[in-house]
Amino acid sequence: MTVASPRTYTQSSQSYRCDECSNEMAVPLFCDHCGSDYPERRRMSPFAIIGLATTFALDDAQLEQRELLLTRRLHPDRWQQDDSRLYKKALLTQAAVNQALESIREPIERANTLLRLQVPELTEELGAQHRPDQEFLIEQLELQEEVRGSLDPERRRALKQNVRAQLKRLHEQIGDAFAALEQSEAAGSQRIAVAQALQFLGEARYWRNLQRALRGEAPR
Amino acid sequence: MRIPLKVKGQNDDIVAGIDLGTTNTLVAQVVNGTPQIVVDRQGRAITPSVVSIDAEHNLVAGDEALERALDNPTGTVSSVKRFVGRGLDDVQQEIARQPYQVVRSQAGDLVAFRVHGKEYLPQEISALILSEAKRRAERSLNARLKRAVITVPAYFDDAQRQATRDAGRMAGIDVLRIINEPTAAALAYGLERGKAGTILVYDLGGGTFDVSILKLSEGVFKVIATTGNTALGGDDFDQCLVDLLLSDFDSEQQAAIRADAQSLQLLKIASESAKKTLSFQPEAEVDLEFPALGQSLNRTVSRAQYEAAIAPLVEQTLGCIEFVLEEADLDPEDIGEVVCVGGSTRTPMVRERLETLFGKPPHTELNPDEVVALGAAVQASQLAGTNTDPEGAVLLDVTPLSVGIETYGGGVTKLIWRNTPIPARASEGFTTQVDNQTSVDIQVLQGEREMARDLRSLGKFKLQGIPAMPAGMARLLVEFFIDANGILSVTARETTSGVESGIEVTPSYGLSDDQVEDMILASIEHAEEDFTAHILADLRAEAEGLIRYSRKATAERGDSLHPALVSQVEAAAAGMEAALSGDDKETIEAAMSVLNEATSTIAQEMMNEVLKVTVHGKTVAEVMGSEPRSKASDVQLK
Repeated sequence: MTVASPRTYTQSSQSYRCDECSNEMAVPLFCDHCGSDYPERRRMSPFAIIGLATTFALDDAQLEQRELLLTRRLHPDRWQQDDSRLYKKALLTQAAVNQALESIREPIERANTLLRLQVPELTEELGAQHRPDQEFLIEQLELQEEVRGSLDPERRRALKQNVRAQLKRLHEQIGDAFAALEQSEAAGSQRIAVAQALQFLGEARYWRNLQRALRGEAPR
Repeated sequence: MRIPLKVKGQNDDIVAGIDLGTTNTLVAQVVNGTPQIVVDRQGRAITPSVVSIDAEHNLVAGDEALERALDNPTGTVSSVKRFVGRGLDDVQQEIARQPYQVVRSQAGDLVAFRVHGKEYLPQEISALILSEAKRRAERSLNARLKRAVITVPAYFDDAQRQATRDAGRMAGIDVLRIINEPTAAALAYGLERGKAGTILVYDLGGGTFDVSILKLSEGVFKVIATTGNTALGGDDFDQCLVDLLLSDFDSEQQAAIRADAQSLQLLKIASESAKKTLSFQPEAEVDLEFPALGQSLNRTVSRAQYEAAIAPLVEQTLGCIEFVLEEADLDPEDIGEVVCVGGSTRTPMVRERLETLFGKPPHTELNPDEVVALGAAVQASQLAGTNTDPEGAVLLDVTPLSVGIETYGGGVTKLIWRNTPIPARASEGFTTQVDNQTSVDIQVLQGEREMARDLRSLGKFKLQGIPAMPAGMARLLVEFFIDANGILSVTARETTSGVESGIEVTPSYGLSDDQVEDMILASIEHAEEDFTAHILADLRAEAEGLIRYSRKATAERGDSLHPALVSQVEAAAAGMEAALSGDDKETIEAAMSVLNEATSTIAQEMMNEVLKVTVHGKTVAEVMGSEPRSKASDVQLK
């Protein structure tokens, strides 16, 4: 197993120029100046497509700003006038960008994406071994049941606050695990960091589903 | 100085925004950068969303249909928006409220209306309403309406959007985009010009209530959460007043009034008018005679009594606000702007409650009935490129419901979750269940529940030609794609051993392109003829006036004019007459512009004389303030 070099984690976004018109492109997939597309780059990582550093520690504001900038520059409506082939390309580009954004927008998704991207074998191996804590599971089952029943507004509010607090804590812990992963040189410490990330990630998923249940949404 | 003369009938095509409402339909367009409601020649802004079908299957839409409603209750289709794109099971409650017959269509799972023994799809009815609104706008603006943005509620699902789009196409409209009503409302207020913020749109119409939260930042609009109640609106407020007024009678009298259609109708009309009065007066007087029953009603309703009656309904809408805030993870303080849409938001109590909740008055500057159409026009002009405002907002829409496919055992795998920004694309791998399985059924589902049986089926298709292999070996890739209009297409292919086969489906609630082609209203073709005839008639009248004016002018002042000019004008007038002997619009227009050109020197001289004469008698300021017009000719001086 190879140990990923720390540089790959902190590498900042690279900007792309179009081969055809040499303008700076909003995303590597498609030139928003001349409409040339680069289908071979669709396999790039979501971070590279969006043009952000490959790290868990993304700033929400920065992510949102990037999303809006890309939406403005790539919006298919800008091409509708020109021709339908370009419109279609722009539409597919925007869809690919949206898909990339979905995979890094929320901390849980972002962590999953990063693990699969950077340490796929280790993630699979440790993920298969991972078992959530019995006590934690029972607590979650009880909470789920409570939420499905009729909650009085006071209890509901308290639960919501608790869920938010738990998720905040877990996001921080996942962040710490990723920081440790980025600094780990040895296979052993990398293993520990990934195991920790998976552990917190597993718990966060339960809390996230509880949050969904509180909003009347289906679990994922 | 050259006076440019504008020839009527040469306007550009209209790019419109259309609010295709449950009760009323409005058309708007952007003029000189400002959205405006299009009124017809009688000054009417609203086309009632009503279609009347008589025993001979003659169809009329709009005001005329509304007039016939009382005489033809079972042949009058209103509230079609509640049925468009729905299945029979979705609309059981609605059916009970309507006097016309609703059946399962022969075209599939869609509902249809059975009127005098013939079936009509909701799309067809909507298309008639759209084409009536279109016709009115065209007549009034003397231009063709070819392209438009049509609005739908944010909660409208794929099938409902498809059906709305189909209705537009059947009415001969190139539908540039289907956009969400709350987004349109925010656009009408130009809120995209603000830097960033969160906007809540409260839309209380005649029969439906929606509340949506939009996020705006860097010129991008995003609907982040939406909810509503399709059975709550101003009509329910009227009903509260009906009940209030009836409470003056004993139970026997009440039953008699309720049983008598005419009395009930009178009561409803009186209630609606009292409701409107109470929006700006502290009390309303109700004076009613029920001739059939020998009863009369005379009482004063105070605003306090009315508000007590509607309070539970207003509370329900506030409950929806709470829900949508929770879904967006926001508190009332986080909302920067509140926008009121729908006539029922004129109710003072509604505005007061909103102000109390959000700590700021809601936007009510624009007419709440018109705001959606105005915003649609803004978006239409942007999409058509007639308004290339670099500051203009772009819309980032989200899909209102999750979509997925049914898996073995009645479960569902969701490919695209609700609230995902669109356009969206997602794919998922599946495999076969049994050995040597050569085909799979793919059932496309929509909704939030966990079991296939609780979800709405959007369509089903079969992927065939899978090479025979053991169960679990085939690799089936199903891909979902939701386009910028929120419309879904699904493809599936088998990818092992390089063999690929694919199929593309459009969910069964929509119609195929061929079906839509077939349904494109016959009247559209006639509309083209009608329109041309109408334009031609206007053009002729104008051309004839122009000939008269030119000859009169040259006869009156022939002495002072250069002989070459006089003969030039006469030649042009003769050319005009020759053109008028035919029916060709372009030829007539060309001859008109020649004649206009030839007479422009005379017009200018006349103008100079008018100015000279006027300046002698009046002050310069008065002269500047009065714009001379050559009325006799009906030629407009720009």
